[in-house]
Amino acid sequence: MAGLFEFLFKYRPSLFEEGRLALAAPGWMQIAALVAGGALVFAAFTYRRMRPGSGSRPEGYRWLAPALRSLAIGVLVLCLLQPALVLSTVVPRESFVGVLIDDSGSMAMPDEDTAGDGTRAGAVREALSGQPGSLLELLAERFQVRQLAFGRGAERTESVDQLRFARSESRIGEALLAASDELAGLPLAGLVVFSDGADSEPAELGDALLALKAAGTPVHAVGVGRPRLARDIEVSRVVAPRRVLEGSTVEVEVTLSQTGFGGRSVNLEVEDDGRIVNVEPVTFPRRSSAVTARVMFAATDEGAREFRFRVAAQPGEELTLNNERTALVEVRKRQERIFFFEGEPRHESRFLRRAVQFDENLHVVSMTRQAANKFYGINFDENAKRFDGFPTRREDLFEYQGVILGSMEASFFTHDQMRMLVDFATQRGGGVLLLGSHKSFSEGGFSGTPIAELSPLVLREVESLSVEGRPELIYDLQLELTPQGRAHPAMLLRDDRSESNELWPTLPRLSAYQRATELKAGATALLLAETPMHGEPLVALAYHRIGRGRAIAFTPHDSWHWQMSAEIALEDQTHERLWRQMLRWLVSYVPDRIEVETDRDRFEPGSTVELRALVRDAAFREVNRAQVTAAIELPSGEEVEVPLDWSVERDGEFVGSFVAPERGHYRVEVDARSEGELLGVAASRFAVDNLNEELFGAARRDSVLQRIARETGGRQYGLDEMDSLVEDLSVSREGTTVREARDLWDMPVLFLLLVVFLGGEWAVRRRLGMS
Amino acid sequence: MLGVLAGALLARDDFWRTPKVGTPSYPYSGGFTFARIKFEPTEWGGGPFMWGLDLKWNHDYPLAEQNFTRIVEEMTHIDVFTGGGNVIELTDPRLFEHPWAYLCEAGFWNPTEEELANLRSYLFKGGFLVVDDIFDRPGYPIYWENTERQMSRLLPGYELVPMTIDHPVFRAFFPLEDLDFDLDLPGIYPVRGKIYGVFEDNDPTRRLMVAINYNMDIGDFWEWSEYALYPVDVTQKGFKLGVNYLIYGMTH
Repeated sequence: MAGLFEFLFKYRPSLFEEGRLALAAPGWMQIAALVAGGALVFAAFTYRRMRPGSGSRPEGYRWLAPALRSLAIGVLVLCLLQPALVLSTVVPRESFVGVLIDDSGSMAMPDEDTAGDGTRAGAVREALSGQPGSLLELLAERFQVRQLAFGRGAERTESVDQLRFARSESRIGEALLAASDELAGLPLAGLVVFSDGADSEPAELGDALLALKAAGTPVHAVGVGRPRLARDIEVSRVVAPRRVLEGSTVEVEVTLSQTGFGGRSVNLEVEDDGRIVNVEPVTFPRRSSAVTARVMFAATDEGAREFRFRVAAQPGEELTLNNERTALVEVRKRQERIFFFEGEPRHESRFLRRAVQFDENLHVVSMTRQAANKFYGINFDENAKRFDGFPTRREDLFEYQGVILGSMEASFFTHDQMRMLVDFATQRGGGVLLLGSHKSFSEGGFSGTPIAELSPLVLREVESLSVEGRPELIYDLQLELTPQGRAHPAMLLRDDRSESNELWPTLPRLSAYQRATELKAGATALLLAETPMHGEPLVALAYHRIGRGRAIAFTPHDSWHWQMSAEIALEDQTHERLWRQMLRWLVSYVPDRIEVETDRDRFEPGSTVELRALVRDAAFREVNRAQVTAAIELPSGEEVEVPLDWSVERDGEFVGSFVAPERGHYRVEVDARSEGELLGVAASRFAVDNLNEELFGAARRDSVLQRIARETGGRQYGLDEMDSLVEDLSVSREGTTVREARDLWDMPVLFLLLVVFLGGEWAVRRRLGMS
Repeated sequence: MLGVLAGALLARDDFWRTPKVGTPSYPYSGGFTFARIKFEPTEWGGGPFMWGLDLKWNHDYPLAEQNFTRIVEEMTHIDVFTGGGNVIELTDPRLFEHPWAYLCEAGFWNPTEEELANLRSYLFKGGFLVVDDIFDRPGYPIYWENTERQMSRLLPGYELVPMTIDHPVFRAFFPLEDLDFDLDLPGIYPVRGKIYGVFEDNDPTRRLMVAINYNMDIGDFWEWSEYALYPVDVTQKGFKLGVNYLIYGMTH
């Protein structure tokens, strides 16, 4: 299309965009007007005298021929006025052009479409070789050329031959700013970036483009490489929790992308320190390039663990270095504390506690109402604050990560206590598990209370309780996993997922008092219960996020049958496993009072690591007036202290940064004090290694290149468009320029119009029999 | 002809077995239902128990559980069925629907291997058993010896540990001051009550699985409470111990 435009209008569209139209001979205007007027009058007179030979044509048709003649005269008059395109063109050899060359490893990739040695780097070498006809030579004829190589930052280079194309990063934003600084003060016609668009630090690019736009420096991007690899598989994204409890089932979301492998199945391997801990078969869809797989595996060993997610190299795959990604997960060995508040001694709560009694990472403290106002506490440790009944102070409740609410009616609680339990989830970020019983949910009078807000189930007023003031027991509940339940790690009763899914329908049937069928918006059901006593399936297990926390509802009241039933073998661990997983899920990702995070889990050597700490008091109110210090332990064992300052943007948030110099695992420990008193400590880990980020999404990223060009007033070119690039740079408004007018009167389009108008007139005359 | 009929009758296996006694069966209610273990006693005969049949397991049935469950309902928040209790054989899968069970007259208990295997599984899974009403004449511990024998068949290698007042079971609901269940009633030889326990993994710091009342009969205290057959304080103590067993069994 651009070629047709150039044929018709002599110049490429970009030149028309850059320049402005003008008339080179405005003095001819009066003469041209006279000539045109005379010609038109003559034409009108001639046509007035003539009568058409056939009367079958409409009346207006006879005016078509003079109109066409008038247009032809108009074209001729336009040519007489000598239209021109006025452009600013650079003065030869007085302006500068900065050429930035991506020196990173992704440029060394083989690429069938490129010239030279068949790699992207080879194509760049050829373009910038300085040989006759090469871009460098064309540029050098008109500009002073400065070549810069970039990976992280940009340095001057005299020749492309000096480059090795092996740097592990390419930070385009940083490089553009460095080049701009390097060429500051010089008449700069523009920057030219040779890159495949792989950018290791996309966050930096926006700022850099803004600065260049403000400085009026156009950046032209030359895309290297193919926009799509023919056959490639890559592990595009891994979403893993940063911290898990030892022995937990870790659920990780892995996105795999492919080209040329649609419909094929591959094995996604998970490796923990050289040991394969899971192999998940993944089938690529035929019509989509990406697929997301959920993999689950047990985190068995304490410490900072690097889990690798890998797809073995496939036959014919062009790039195999992007078949693996690593996630750093801190496997913690610590006891999460759960407060189990039970309204009556009952088998369900007893067996639930028994199921998790040997889990070293869970500490369940229970308070059971034995009789009116008589409570029995179990497992309170010596230092814990003891209280009778349900806590009345936030500090007492918020020291737990999870709360289980058993068979306790709503009228027992004060409004403040219920509000506090809601705050426990929404503000403290804790997990609340609501268990079914004859005194729970709607049947316990909770509809319209703050607990109804907490519940993932809609709690409606119960109109009448059926038998002697008690809700009717619904028997024979066969629990079935929903699709979400099948994928949920807490529902995995066997290591093999299909084995686990097959096991669920064989478990003994349960009973419940809750006729729960309605979920709140945003809530997810994991288990449904079919029963002959009720038409539609009841919700047996559901959860939702509420504020920072999570609330789970489990409505059957006798899951202990899965432990005791005669159908269950003595050595069967189903009940234990279910509740261990449920309670670990309940307290997973529950924030601590003091927390420290880095913005990512892995960095390149020399990167700036942003540290962010959140500081809260015992009631989880954010603290801004605190002294917060991060002690960073380097892989070498050296320790660096970084003071963190209140960010001002958010209450309780303290930030700081430091540059990670060496490869390995780092440990950050934050110490927060207020008026000399220790508020708490928190720790986090991150890793520093060569990430080779740019090998992911290794095809040419036109979106990045187009953005660079669009936002700075430049253009994107292919390697075969070097002439256009030089021409566009030559008509730049930047640099040392002069104005130049280029004739347009001889544009082929004008001649074409003339032929069309005169030919049209002749044809009309023939039809009307006037000639 | 009569001889043939008599022979055929005597040859029937069930002729020599315990007479059938009708006991109501209450369906699963979702709450706590008292479970009494039924067994084939080593001897049976006539007596003051149900319909004149002394079947050993049926001592104090059903009044004991009726009175006991009423007290439990009155005193605690346990969701309890107060109509009585279920009578369950050890081979009955319904046993596993009752994680708290009561067995009396273990001196006459001689379970089959199948029964023992089921009960063993029940206890290891988390069931709690109260063994009650084992009486010996002073110096003639034949019923205790039978109990020990059957317990060693049930849980080989597990010890019967003499319990002391400091164990949590004795303050699970009512804090008992002592374990003095001695009775010196006129016309009956003096009895000196003692409680033994069998613990999970044979470890007295772990869960109590079986509580054995020797020379004690708390079921009797429950049964006869409304007739004031026994002194009030002893009767009360019998109820307190029973409630403690139940609360412990449902919370530990």
